[in-house]
Amino acid sequence: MFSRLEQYKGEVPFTHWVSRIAVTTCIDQLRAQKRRPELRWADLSETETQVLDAVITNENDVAPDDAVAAKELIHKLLELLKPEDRLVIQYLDLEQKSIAEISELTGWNPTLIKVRAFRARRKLQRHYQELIQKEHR
Amino acid sequence: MNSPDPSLQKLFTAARRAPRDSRDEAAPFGFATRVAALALQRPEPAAVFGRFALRAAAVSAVLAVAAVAANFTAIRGLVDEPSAAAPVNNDDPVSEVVALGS
Repeated sequence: MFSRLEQYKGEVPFTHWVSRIAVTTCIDQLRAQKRRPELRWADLSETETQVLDAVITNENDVAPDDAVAAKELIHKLLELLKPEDRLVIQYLDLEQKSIAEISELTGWNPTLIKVRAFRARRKLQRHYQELIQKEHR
Repeated sequence: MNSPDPSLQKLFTAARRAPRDSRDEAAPFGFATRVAALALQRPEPAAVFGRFALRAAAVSAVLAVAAVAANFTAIRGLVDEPSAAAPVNNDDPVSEVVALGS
């Protein structure tokens, strides 16, 4: 939005223009996601590849310096999930919030959150397995 | 996690250690001013129409006053002597006889 400001002609209220950009950006993102519904090693950066290699092969934990790359990698995997599933994993496994906190934030009841988390983790696990199997085939 | 894959667990543990995204999400300096300048640069169509309508009303008022002033004498004559301005009808003999009798 900041970079496209020069395109704003003042013909419509500014709030309309901003919301139009937000909608267009979301649609572009969804289209891109539809085109590439899977994650490949080629999509990963060099550091992310190293991190993934380290967690697969080494017994040691990931080096603290590679934490950001690990986070990026997790986010790339999460992008393969539906927004609701992604949100549950984000809150539960990354931010380590409790079910009660998530319920308060999302308005979903605790049972729904647990069911959604179970399914989301299963899907995430599947995507992760596909990613590492492709490389080690 | 359900049937946790140790490597995925390790990945999550490492990701949790990452610092929060500290990228600045605030608008760039002077952004609000630029938005306001762009918005004010081009007035809304309704405002343009309103301004032209006001000018048109003023011009119409001036023309109306000028028209009255130019024809003031004629108008005043009509008001003061309505009979003089009325046409005399000499073609009707009956009205002539009635007029002579009265």
